[in-house]
Amino acid sequence: MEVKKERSNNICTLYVDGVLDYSTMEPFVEKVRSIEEGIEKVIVDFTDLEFIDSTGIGAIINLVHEANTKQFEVELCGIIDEIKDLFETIGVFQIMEALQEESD
Amino acid sequence: MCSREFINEQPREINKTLEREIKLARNIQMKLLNGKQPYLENGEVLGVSIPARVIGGDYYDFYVLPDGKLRIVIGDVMGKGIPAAMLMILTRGAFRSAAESTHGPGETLTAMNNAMYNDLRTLGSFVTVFCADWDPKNNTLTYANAGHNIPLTVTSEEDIAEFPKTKGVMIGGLPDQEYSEESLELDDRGFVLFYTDGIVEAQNKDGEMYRMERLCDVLLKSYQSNVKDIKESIVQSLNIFTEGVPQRDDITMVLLKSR
Repeated sequence: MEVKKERSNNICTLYVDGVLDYSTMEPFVEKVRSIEEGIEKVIVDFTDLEFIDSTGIGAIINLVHEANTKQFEVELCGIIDEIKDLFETIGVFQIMEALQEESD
Repeated sequence: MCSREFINEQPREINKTLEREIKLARNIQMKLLNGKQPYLENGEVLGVSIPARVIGGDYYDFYVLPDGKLRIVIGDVMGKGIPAAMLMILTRGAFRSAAESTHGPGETLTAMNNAMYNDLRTLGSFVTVFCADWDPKNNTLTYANAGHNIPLTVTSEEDIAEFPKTKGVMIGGLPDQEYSEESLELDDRGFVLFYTDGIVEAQNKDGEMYRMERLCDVLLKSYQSNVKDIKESIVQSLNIFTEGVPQRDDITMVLLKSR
């Protein structure tokens, strides 16, 4: 699993490549920890994501809550339908919407 | 007290102590989890949980309500092993306490979320939970969902379907959640399967997943069987598929069949 981080102005993009699960999530968590002050938006690009388990989803949810506290926006992109369904069932998008409404 | 003991112990003894304590923890979890299955006059129910490691984070439970209904719950704690097992016990306590004081599965999930939200947020964790009340009088399930896999209903040797969806955020996702309820009249001869994702995500040596299609095949072939035999067929099919590859995730299922 590899996570590449790119910054352009006040937008930070995390490219997740491979399996984001219990045994591989540390690089993702590290990259989230290293998000600098002043970032206004974090994009997580899942185009090359092969598999995500509950621990990986937990890391995404923690990022969403952190974004709410530190006042930056999170966007998830490149999600295949199967993972979109999983996020929908678990409630990832509902959390994002609720926290977004709260900060508006 | 534990840390002082550890300071005086040699590494080999520490390992032995840890091993013994983990074994005891496993016994506690297994006894609490795989306890007495309720006897039903008009049906049969069976739950089983197989942890991927010594102990796990999956959970199921039954609670017989004063009006004769059976409350069924199945849950999956984020993560694996000892940390997940600790939260599984917390989930069990929240369910047992909520089951006594709430009227339906939606209210039960709300009470569980209220009880657990702050702790789970502090720990950066969550639990997916599906809760259903089975009414033996009209063979109907009323259910609510907090982010869990949707159960399957098998109504003939050719027909299998997911329950009609009902949305709800996982326990620990957001505070003050309400969970909507749906009802489903069960087939008189069919059965339902509540499960955790460890079944469909079990892998063989090539890294291929067991997937929903294989599970559905086994369930359709088991239409005439009793719940014990259905469980055996699923476990056997998983064992044949994985060919001894170590289990990556906890596997849990609850089967309910009316008669």
